[in-house]
Formats: sequence, structure tokens, C-alpha cells
Amino acid sequence: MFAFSQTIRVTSWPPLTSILGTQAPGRSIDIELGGQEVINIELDTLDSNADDVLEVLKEGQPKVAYWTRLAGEYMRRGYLDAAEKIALSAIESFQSSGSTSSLPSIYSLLASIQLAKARKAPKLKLLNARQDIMTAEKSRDDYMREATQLLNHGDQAAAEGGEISAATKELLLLTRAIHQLANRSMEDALRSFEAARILYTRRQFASALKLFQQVLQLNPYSLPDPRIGIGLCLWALNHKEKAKAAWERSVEVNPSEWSGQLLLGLEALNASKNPELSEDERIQELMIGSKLIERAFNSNQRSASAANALCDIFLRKGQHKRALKLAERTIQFADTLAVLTDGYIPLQAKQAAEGQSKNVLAAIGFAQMQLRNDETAAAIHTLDGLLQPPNPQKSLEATAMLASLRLHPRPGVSSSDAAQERTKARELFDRVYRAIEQSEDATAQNGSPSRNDSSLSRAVVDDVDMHIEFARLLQSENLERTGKVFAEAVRVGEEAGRVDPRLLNNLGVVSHLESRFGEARIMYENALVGASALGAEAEAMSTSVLYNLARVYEDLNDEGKAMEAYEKLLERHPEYVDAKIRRAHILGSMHQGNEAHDLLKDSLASQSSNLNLRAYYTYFLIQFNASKGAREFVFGTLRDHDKHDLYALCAAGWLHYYQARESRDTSSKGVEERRLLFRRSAEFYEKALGLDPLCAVAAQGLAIVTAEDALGTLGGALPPGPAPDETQRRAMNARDALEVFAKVRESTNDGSVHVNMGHCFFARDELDRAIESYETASQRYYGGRNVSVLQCLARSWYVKANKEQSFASMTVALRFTQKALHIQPVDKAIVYNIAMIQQKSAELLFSLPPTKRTLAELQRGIAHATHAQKMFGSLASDPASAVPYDRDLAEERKNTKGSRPREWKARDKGVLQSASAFETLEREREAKLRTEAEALAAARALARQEAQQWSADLVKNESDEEREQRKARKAANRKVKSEAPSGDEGLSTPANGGAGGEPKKKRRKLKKGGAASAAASAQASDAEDGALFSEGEEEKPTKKRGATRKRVAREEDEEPASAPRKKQYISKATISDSDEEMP
Amino acid sequence: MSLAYVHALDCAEPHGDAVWDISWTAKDNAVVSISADGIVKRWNSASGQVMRTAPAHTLGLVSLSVSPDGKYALYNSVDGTTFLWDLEAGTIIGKHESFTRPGAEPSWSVSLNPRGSTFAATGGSGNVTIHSAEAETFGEQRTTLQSGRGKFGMRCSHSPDGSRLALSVESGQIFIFDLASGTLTSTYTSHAMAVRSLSWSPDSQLLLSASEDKRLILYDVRTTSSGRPSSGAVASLTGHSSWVLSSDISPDGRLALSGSADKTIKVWDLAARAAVSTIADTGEVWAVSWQPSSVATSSSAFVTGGEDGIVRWWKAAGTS
Repeated sequence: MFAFSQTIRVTSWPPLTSILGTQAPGRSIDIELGGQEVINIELDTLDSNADDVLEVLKEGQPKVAYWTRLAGEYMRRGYLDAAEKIALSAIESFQSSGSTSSLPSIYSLLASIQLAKARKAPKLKLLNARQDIMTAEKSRDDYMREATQLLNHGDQAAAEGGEISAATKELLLLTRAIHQLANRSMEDALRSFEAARILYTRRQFASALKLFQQVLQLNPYSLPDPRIGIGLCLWALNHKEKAKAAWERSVEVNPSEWSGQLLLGLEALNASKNPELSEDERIQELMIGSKLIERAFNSNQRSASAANALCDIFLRKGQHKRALKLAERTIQFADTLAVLTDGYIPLQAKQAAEGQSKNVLAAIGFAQMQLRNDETAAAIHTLDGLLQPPNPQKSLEATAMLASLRLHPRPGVSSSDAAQERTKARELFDRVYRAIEQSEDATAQNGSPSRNDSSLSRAVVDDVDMHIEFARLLQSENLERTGKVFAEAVRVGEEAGRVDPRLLNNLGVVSHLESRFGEARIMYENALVGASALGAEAEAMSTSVLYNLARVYEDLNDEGKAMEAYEKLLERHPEYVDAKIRRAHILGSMHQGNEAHDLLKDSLASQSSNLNLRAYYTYFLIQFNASKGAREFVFGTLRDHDKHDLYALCAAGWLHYYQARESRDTSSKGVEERRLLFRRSAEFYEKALGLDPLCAVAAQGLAIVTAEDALGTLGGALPPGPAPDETQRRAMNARDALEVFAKVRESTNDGSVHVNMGHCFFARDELDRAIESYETASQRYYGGRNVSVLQCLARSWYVKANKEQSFASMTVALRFTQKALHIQPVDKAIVYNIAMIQQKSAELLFSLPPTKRTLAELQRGIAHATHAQKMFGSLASDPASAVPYDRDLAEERKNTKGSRPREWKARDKGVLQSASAFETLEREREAKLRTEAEALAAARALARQEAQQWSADLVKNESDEEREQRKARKAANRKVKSEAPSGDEGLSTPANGGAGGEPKKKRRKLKKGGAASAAASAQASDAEDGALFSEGEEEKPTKKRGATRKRVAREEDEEPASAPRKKQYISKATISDSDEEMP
Repeated sequence: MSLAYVHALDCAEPHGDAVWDISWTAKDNAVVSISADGIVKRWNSASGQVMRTAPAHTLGLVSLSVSPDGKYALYNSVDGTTFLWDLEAGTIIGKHESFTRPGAEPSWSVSLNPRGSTFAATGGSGNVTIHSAEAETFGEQRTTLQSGRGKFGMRCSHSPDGSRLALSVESGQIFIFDLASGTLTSTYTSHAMAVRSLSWSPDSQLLLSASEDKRLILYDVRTTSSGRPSSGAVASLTGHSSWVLSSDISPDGRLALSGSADKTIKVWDLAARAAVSTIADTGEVWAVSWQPSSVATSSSAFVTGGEDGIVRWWKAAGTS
């Protein structure tokens, strides 16, 4: 059915002769030769050879009308070449005779000829047509172009010629009208000529009908036959019988005209499909139809409609080869969409029938038609069918096209469907790329383009748009591949000699995001050069590129250049807030907070609802310790601007947390308030996570809350509920938090997450892993210059040293602390820590069994202890009104009379509170140790008694002996208190009685002597060293007394100098322009 | 213009920790370095061998100042213990524990007066204290120069002619005192971040500051006959991508050296105000020092010390 209904819209255009077809009554023409001879040319008997006539014309030099008349006559008879020859001779002849006023009409004639030729030329040349090879032919466009040129010539000649007759003008106008008509410039043509035809094309059938009838009245023999038009109109108006009659009449009048036959044929074909008719009748109709169409096709082999219809018939008859040829011909000649589509359909159908079910060409062509008809979904379906099993075709073009289509937003597609489409498109692009890569591999292997390569269309590989489309698809998920794809696009662009600066910019952005700043910088700079070459319209482009360039300067640590770039940007666009923010950021990082603040306030005044700006300002306020201002500001953001702004939510979460943690209020009301704040903090983070499940900052915030048990009792800092298994819970919390941190680590490029992981490992007593995490943060992110991380490292080593009784570890702890002080000499808390570690390391050394220490270490230990004492003295008497440590503790330590478990000074007073988080664990341990100690108390008392008595026995002995003994006793005591296992040892001494104690002491003494003698022998010659050694021996007892007490509990309750975990709110500003940049 | 410096020598026995200051002395072509490991070493510049070591201090050493004749080295530890070391005899002839109370704040940076007999120290107070450098009275405080700001003093340095003293503080300001009158003559506020290093030109007319803000700034510090300070900051040297930790002006006054946390050493042409050479090192370059003019006539060699504890000698390409 479709064949008819669509074909009927298209009829052949009237041959152009209609405008020239003057009604010569006699059908003959007289030409005067030299004034006497008159030659009569019989117009009805012209043959295709125009040489004779031409000779006559040249000789006679008649008026222009004769030339045109004759040429027109030839044309009318279809001898286009002859007509053209005559016209060209005419131009020649008139140009040589100088009568330019005659030229316009000839030009218009020539144009008409071209148009006539155009009508018979293929519209589209299939480059790979298999049967109907047309490459030698000029395409319709070529003829059209020539015609246009000729018309313009005509106009020109007319203008130059001055006076021309109104008739000539009219002629020109008419020719142009037809030309316009052929070119489908309907509006223009409507005014001029053949209103009916136009009306028909515009589907105003009734008025068209009227006009056609008028024409018929005026000229019953008019060619083309108005009856065809009448029939068409009638058909369209559903007067099918009348239409048929009109066509029949037309065929009667003009038996050689193919259009009437075609239409009748089609009608018959249609009728043959009418189920109401009997089988016989239908066969009859089909026969008639075929015959008519065949005849029509034979009389005009190049009619797309006829070819199409015939093709249909052949298909039905199963003559596929001929059908294919006809279908291809249809496609090549079709000048309306519908016919073209129809051409593809039988092509496909034919192939389906042949069993080669999927013809790439047909499918793509068909899909393209559907696209032009705005049937995207149908096109997708067509291509899908092509590419999917069974028998999937490997067509890169089709794959790329389908991917692109899937990506293209269509109306009425839900967002989830769209996401699905994106996934599918991605797969398809992946396939295309794999194919390209494979073929490149093959090429590389064979050294020459392989066979495979030829199947790979360069058109696809070099399609910049496709690369860009794919890159855009990838950019949110896989940066590395995005970069590759952009690079490919840039390569293609380079090959073509022109690279879009935006492409370079995007490639730069990818490098930038992957932290390859050097490359990014080069890309941006090139893009900038490219953009500036484009002139003024690329202004927006170069602005963005310059901004990106400035960002990369920042990342390259070249603030000077970045600053210059921002200033340049602000000069051009004074209200470019992003540039202003970055400027403020640089100023802020250079401790020029006031200038930065002014800039930000300035920006806020002009764009108070810019969320990026507000996020940055919040960050700025927090950075500069204006947390109260920050809180108000962030609530303002949430309340007045966007209550779903992720940055504001995270900031609010952090601020609540911070406020609660820093609160010192221990009254019940204050505690309640803190609980509330913690809860709200968690709520904010949860909300942020709800909005973006991948928000690393919120996840990290929540993990911190978990790790520090802020929702529970904050590690005992808040009055606890029943929490017997506090320790266990802490370990569990830390583990939970670690899991989160590990995930966050994958997605953020920031040291804070490593620091937090370090804290968690520390809380879980996994010191080596804690150290590892801190090291990563310190080295990779902070260049070893972050004081608080250095402090954390020192603390971890310190605890490790105590745990493993390792002097070496203690030395490392001291090293990190000194590094911290070197970076920040103003911080006296670090000085305190240095003194503490020094003292500690001395104690540790003395407590080691002599085999495990060297003389040199011992000496150094003594020096440390002495020095530490002096420093504590200095710290204790510091005249400053406020010191970041406890003066009394320093005083206590100075006197080394003893100490409390809490010795380590947190770097920051502010974090003391969370320090208590770690205290619980400590208390737990402390308590355990205490019970053990109490259990041993009796035994110890016994031991003391024993020892006292023993010493009384030996009171007469040499003082040297006595000193040894006292020392030994203290050593025993110390062991009892410090380590549970060694308690056995202490216990055993009294159990064995005085006799039992003796060997022990002796052993000790021996060992010491051994160490001493070994050392002495090693350095026997050095008297000074020997003296130092004995001095050390003497000093030791006093030192140990201090140590004894201190060791009761291990000093590790110190709080992570947990610098408030830094949050970066700046990330959003990072190259925020890149999206808009995508071409 | 571009100059090439080649790596000439590494020390034989590196320090156990970062080298925090260094000085190429005028005597015996020797180099003195101090380290975070608490040890000061005197090196032979020809062999890279240690010539002498002073007994180790328990804590790291942060500041070093060698007398112009190369005979004495004054150095200070992180805790504020100041030592005067006789480089010839190898003995400590003075030790002062600046943190002992009552007294001033512990010293951080110290500078030996080129005219001898005194040294200057700065630290937590943000002021400069002048102490005796005589062996008998070593460390006794003589006077105090007030900066008027309570900021931590990061560095103090005597002008080569001994008439003036420059002080830099953690917030980036630089103060210049006239020692004869004990008055503050100029204040410069070109930096907003800590200035960790100051160096004078040999003629005492230029001062170069190296700051955490990644810049070096050159000041014209000449005074007019009436005693008024002249123009001040005359050039800003940019190019380092992290803190500038150390600096030194060459004996001929043409070139400057800088070491940075970006792990590079740069040589600058002061007239052109541009870097003429950049050398990559393995870690933070905490200390740089030119070979003094009494040993060499041109700016042909220097020595550096950094995070890896190795003392490195460098020389201009083409010199022996």
C-alpha cells in the first residue's frame, strides 16, 4: 500500500519547455538568409542533429527570438544537447556582434536546459552501488549549480544591456521561478508561476485542482498534461474514480507520457491488493499494473517513482537482482524524502528475502531516513536490529551511529532509561574503540595496513565529533580513558590541520585532573594561543582557558603567575567571581587574610547567592578560626539559598561537631547540649550522604564521629550510660571508621584521610600501621612540613618505643618532634614534648637490661635526662601568662619526683577534649595494672621486708655492695609494677627467701660489671670515658626512682595532636568550567 | 644568561639527620655544618672528609654563625643552648643555656658579631639580645634590641661590617637595627609569611630575605648621611615552588644562592633579577653557602646541606 500512497505525491516536473513553448500556429519557422533567401524550418520534423539548423542560424544572424524558438523546440522534443548547442552558439554570435541586450533570454534558455538535464540526473550517487553504477554522470546538484550561474549571467547581461523588453524580463523571471521551484524555494516561486503545482505540493488540493482545470481550459494540449495534476488532486481529494478517469484521458491524449501510465499502473497495483476483489480480479489488476509501470519505466528510465514501483513488483515476483538495481536507482534519483525512504525499504526487504538478512548500507540508509523523519526511536531500532544477533554485523559506522543516537536525548525518556541508554552507548563506543585499537595493532604488527584495516572506515576513526561524544560520556567515570579519547580527537584534528582550542582545553583539563600539571599547562597554553587566533568570538573560550591555566599554575605552585592570570581575567571581566575566589585563596594562603576577606566580601556583595562562593567563604571563615561567623553563614546558605547544598551540609556537620567537641561545659545541661550537637552533626552528614552517596567529605565526617564515639559517651568524656565494654567498643568503632576511611581514601586526594586512618590505627594499637598512614600523609601530601602530622608520628613512635622498650624508636620520636619544632619554633608545647621524650628515653634506657644497651647510648641517655630536667625547669618558670602545657606538670617533671599517667602534652589545648577519647582505653589498662599491682602488694611488702633485713645483715659490708643491692631492689620493684609477667619474678624473690634473692642480685651485679668492663676494655685508654661511666653508675639510682613510679602506667593517653581534620571546600571550584567547555 | 654548576663532591660521612645550616669558612677552605642530629662537623673541602667534630648535643642544632676569619663557630640548638667552638683547637670555649630562668626566651637564631666580642640572639621574645662572646663571660646578656612586635624571631644576622643587625620574624617582617646606637632603623613588611633566612651582601648595602611565601626579596639597605633608610625592597625573586629555606649572596655581590623545600637550589643574577641556574637536590635544601672571597676570587663554588644529611660541594662548570 505504501508504495502508492507515497509515490503519488511525486510526479515529474513539467518539462521546462512549457515556458518557451510558444504556440506557433503553423509549427514552422522562416529564417531569412542575407535578406533574399528564406529558409523554412518545419518544427515538427526536427531531428536530433541540429547541425543544419545551426548553420542556417549562424548564416542568417536572425533576431534572438529565432534562436530561442529553435532551441526551445529542440528542447521540447527532448534533444537537450542540440538545444544547448544552439544556445551556446547564440551566445557566441551575439557576443561577437555586440548586441548584449539579446543575451538575457539566451541565458535563461540555457539555464532551462540545465534544469532539464538536472531533472534527469541522479540526485545522489551511491558510491558503493553494486548494480547501478552512476559515477560517470553529473549529479543533479552540478546541473543546478550551472543553471544558477547562467541565470546570474543573464541578470548581469540584462543589467548591462540596459533596455530590454518587458517580455525578456518576464522570461527571466519565469525561468528563475522554475529554477527556484526545482530548488524548492517554494515561497519565492509561489509568486511567479505554476501556482497550481505549488499549491499541490503544499497540499492545497482544491485550489490546485481549480488552477489545473484553468490551465487545461486555456491550453488543452499543454505539456505536461494538466490532467495528471487534476488526477492527482482528485485522488488526494479522494475522488479515486474521477482521478483514474483523468489519468486515462491523459494517457489517451499523450500516449508517450510516462507519468499517466505510472499512475494508472500504481492504481492498478493498489487495486490488486484490495481484499474485496476476487483472486482473479486481483491478478488481473496486478498484470495491468505491472504492464503499465513497466511501460512508464521504459519511457522514462530515470524516474525514481517508476523505478520504485517496478522494484516493488520485482520484489513480489522474486526477481531480487533486478529489484536491487531498481531500488538503488530509486535512491539515486529520488528527490523527495518519502521516495528515498521507500527506496531503502525494498533494498532491505530484498536482502531479507535473499537471506543475507542484514545489509549495512540499507540499514544505515534507512535509519538516516528515519532520522530525517524525526523517528529517532525507529532509527535506533533499525540499527539495533542490524547489530544484534542473530548474525550481527560488524559495522563501525552503524555502531558509532547507534551509540550517538542512544546518547542523544529524546523527548519522553525517563531519567533511568536515559541512564540505561548511556550505558548502552558506552558499550557501543567501547566496541568501536576496540575495533580501532585492534586494527591499529594489526597495522603495527604487519608493518603495513592490513586487510582488516581496509574494512575500518577512516571516516569513523577520524570523526572528531564521535571522539568528543565518547569522551563526554566517559568524563564522569573514567578520566584516563577520557584523556585517551580526547587525545585521539586532538590527533585527528592535528591531521586535519586545525585543532579546536576547546578540545585542547578539555585534554588539558583531563591531564589537570590526573595531576599531570606540566602537560595540562602546555595544553592550556596551546588552547589559549588557538583561541586568541580565533578573535573576538572566542573571547568566552579564552577566558575559561585562561582560568584553567591559572589553576594549573596554582597546582604547579607558581602563585605569582596564577595571580597575574587572575588579575588579567578580572581586568577583562571584573565580576568573574571564580577568579576572585582563587585570588582570595592565594592571598589567604600567604597569610594575607584581610585582603582575601575584602575580596570575598566584595564578591558576596555582587553575587550573594552564588553557592560556590558561599562554600568558599564558609571554608575561609573556618580556616581563619571564625567558626561562629562560619556557622551563621552556613545556616544562611542552607536557609536562604539551597537547603540541599552539599558543601553547606558538610560544613554544618563539621561546625556542629567542632563546637560540641570544643565545649568545656561539664554541667549536665552542657553535656546534654553537646550530645545534641553531636547528633545534629551526624544528621547533617547523613543528609549530605543521602543527597550524594559518594560524598567523601560527608563520609569522612561521619567516620570521625564514629571513631570518636561522639554519639555514645565520647570515649567516657560524657557521663556514660552503662558501658562495660568500652574498650571493645572503641576498637570496634575504630574498625568501622577505618572501613569508611579506606573507601574515602580511594576518592579524595587529600592527606587528611590518611591522618584519620592513622588515628584509628593508633586507637587500635596498631602502631606500625598508624605510622605508615601518618608517613603517607606527611610525605605525599604535606611535604614533611605539617606540624601536627609530625607530632602524630612522634607520638606513635613514642608509644611504640614504650611498648617495645626500644631506645631506637624513642630516638625516632625525638627526631620527629624536633622536626616539628624546626618548622614551628614558636610552639612551646613541642618544646615540652621534646623534654618529655628526652626524659623518657633516658628512663627507658636505664630500664633496659644491660645487654640491650651500649655505653654510648647510656651516656646519651644520661645527657638527655639532665638536659630534660633543665628544660622542664625553664618551661615551669616560663613567665608568659598562658602556656600551651601544664606548668605544674613541668615543675613535677623537673624535680623528677614522679609523674601522673598523663604526661604527654597535646600540641593543642583545643584537642584536649578529644584526647580524653583515648583516655578510656588508658584507664582500663591502668585499672587492670592496678589490680595486679594490689594483688602483688603483699608479696612486695614481704620482699621489701626481706630486703631490708638482708641489708641490715650486710650493713657492715662495703658501701659499694650496698649501693648495688639497693639498686637491685629497686629494679625488682620496678618490674613488679610495670609489667605483669615480671611480677612473677618479683614474687619469686621473696618466696626464695634471702638466699634466693642473693643469686639474683649477684647476677645483676655481674652483668653490670660485665658491661662496664667490656666498655672499659673497649675504651681502656680513654680515662675520661671511664670517669663518665662511673658517674653514670652513681646517678642511676635516683633516676630509677622516678622511673619506678612512672612506669606504673604507660604514657599513651596523649591525644592525637589531631589537628582538626582539614576539610577542603575548594574542590568544587576546581576547573568548574570544564563542563561548559565541552563543545 | 645561564650558568652551569656541576656537582663536585659529596661528604664522606653524612650527618645522621638533616643538615640545618652550613658555612664555608675563610680558614683552610673548610666547611662547617650543623645538623638535626645535634652534631657539628668541620669538613675538608678537597676530600670531603671530616676534619673535626664537637661533642654531640642532645638535641638538634638550628643556627650557625662563623667568624669572618674562620676561627670560631657559634651555634645554637633547638632548645636554645648556644656554643662557641674554637675551630683551630677543636674545643668548646663557651656554652650558654639561654633557656635558663630567669632570663630571656630561649634563643633560636644566633649571629656572631664580625668585630668579635659579642653575639646576637633572637627567639621567642621577638627581640634581639646581645651577649658576650668572650670565653670567660660567654653568654652574659649585654643589651636588648626591641623590635616592638611579639613575634617569634626566626633569624638574626650581622652585617659584614658589623655596624648593623637584621632580624626577621615568623610573620614576615624584617627589622634592621643600628648596633652603635641600639636603635631600630628600618622595618620591611614585604613578606606575609615567615622569613627563614637573611643574607647580607659583602659591602653591607644589600640584604636578601628568603621566605615561606616562596619568594626572595632584595632590599637596598644603605643609609643616607642623615641616617635615613633608603628605598627598601628593590627586587622580588620568584621561581621556587615551595618555601625558600636558605640564601646567600656571593662574595663578589653579583649572584645569590637559594635553597628551597621544593628540593632545588637556585642561583640568581642580582642585576638581572633572574634565576640563572636551577639544580635539583634529593630533599629540602636547608642550607647554602658560597665559598668566601679570601679563598676564591670569583663566585665559582658553593656548598649545600639538606634533608638527607649529606654535605655537597658544587662548582661552576669549567672551573677546576
